[in-house]
Amino acid sequence: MHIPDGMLEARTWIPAWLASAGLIAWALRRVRQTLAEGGIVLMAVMAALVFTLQMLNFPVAGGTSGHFSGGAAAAIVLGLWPAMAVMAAVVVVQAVFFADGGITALGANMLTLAVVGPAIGAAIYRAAVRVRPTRRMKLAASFASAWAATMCAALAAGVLLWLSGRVPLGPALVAMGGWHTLIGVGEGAITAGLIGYLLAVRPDLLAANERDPAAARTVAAGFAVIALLGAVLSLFASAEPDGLEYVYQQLGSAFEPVSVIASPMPDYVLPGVSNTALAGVLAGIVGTIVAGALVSALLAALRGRATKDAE
Amino acid sequence: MTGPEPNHTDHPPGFHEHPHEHEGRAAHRHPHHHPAQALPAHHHTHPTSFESLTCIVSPIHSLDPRAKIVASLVLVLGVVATDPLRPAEFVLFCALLAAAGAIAQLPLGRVLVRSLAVLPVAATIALLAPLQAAGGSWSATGVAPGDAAHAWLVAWSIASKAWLSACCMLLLAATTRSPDLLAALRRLGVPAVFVMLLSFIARYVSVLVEQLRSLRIALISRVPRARQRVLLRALGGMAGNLFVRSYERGERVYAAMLSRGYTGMVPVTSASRLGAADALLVLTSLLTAAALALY
Repeated sequence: MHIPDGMLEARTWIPAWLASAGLIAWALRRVRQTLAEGGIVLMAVMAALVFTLQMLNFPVAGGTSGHFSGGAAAAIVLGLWPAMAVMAAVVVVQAVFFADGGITALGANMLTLAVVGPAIGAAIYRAAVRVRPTRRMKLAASFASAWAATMCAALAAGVLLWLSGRVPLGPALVAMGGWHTLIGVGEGAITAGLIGYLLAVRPDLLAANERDPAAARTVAAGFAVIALLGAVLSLFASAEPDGLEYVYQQLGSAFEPVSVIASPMPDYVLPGVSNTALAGVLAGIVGTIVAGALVSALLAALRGRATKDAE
Repeated sequence: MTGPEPNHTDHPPGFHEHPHEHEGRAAHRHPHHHPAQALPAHHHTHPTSFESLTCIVSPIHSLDPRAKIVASLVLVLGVVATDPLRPAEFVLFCALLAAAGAIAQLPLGRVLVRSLAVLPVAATIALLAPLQAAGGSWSATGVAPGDAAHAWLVAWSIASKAWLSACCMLLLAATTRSPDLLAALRRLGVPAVFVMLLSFIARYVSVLVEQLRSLRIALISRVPRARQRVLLRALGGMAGNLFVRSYERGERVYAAMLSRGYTGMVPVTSASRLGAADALLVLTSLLTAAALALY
């Protein structure tokens, strides 16, 4: 499911770009730290492999077909951070060389296919295998994690489209979820087949990556928090343009909007620009720069403290 | 063969590169092999893939890849940021893209067919807009008449923006060789590890696709009418087989790279410099995007 350009509003695609760029940059950093030079070359060949395996078509229902996506499989075999980097590279090549998926929508596509898919896949597989590390369990876990990863990626895409006001939430989730329930079965079967083959032929490759449990747990916890927040906000957002504004309205005079500083960009729109869409984009860019500066300053401060502790 | 016969006294037989022409094709330039001077010229093979369009010799092909990347991104942003494209805007933008394609001597029909691939996804979601205008209900009362015009405008906006953006990116992909494109991404500040991932995809995907095809042929010739369950299991085994082969290929590739002096960085061979034409391209795209967005 590659979202093309023009489908997401600036209020969706700019934060999605920001979030996925940050996460992928973090993943690349972790990859550089943990993998040796040879490991990185191997990972690059694996990126070509995942790209190729996406050409595996399987029949779904009623004469239609789905194709293998590979996010969960990559996360199980390569580990979470390499899998995120690999999937991001695949999505970028599809967008830049094949115009498959948009450029403004690239962040959203990376978020669904390169972050949500591998993270969900890795979290479920690791959790299940830790309970019982048998061959049967590994096969079942790879099926279940691939199915769940496909579903979650599709639902995330549906939510992003809904956030842009393109589709009503209910039908979007029903359509995406319903379709990907079936696609997920194909994805799960192929993933289980792949893992079964590796268990029989090269079990050493699988064992090498079962020692990074903390990463998957962290990401899974992060997603749980975000999902919870999203669910709570969406309860309020049904009729209102912005869930937070609605909450403020409900709380009424108790939280009379106290503007500490007069907002330079009321309603995410730069003053003095008449075209609202363009103003939204500009405001998004300015906001991105400010947020990026804040985050990097925070990270620098934390790193400084960490090194001081280490000394 | 049309045009002047390539002069074979200029260059020795063997592997080399120079612009040349064939019947019905634009002048192009790519490394090829002349077996011996006595043989008819240019009996080298020509790939027919979309990527072979990047070998054409044209003013656009010779622009700096960085300028082309920036220009495409700016145009896509302009298209996406605008309110629903007015017919005049749409026609003018199409004319601009067609002019660029013509200058680049691309087969426009082929690029057009390729760009239509974006429409199935775009149209599906575009058609949900009239649905939402009707209150987001699946019930068969249809689109409310008052909202119908606006809803169809939204649908048009989604589909046209998706298609025009895809055309911009296809023009970039059809006029820039992939090694140049990747080197330009690196020089534009994309992390080296990520560019390496991209370059390995570009480089090895054709090898792996051929392996996958031979595995597929082996499967079909042994189990011509597999049931779905059997087929899915077989596809899983196929994926695992290809994985192990690719892993071992990766180990060999790394050994080969080390033996050729790899130090952790893939060297950039082409260091082009930005010229007046590149500045003009970026300026044109900026003005076009601004005109689209602000008008």
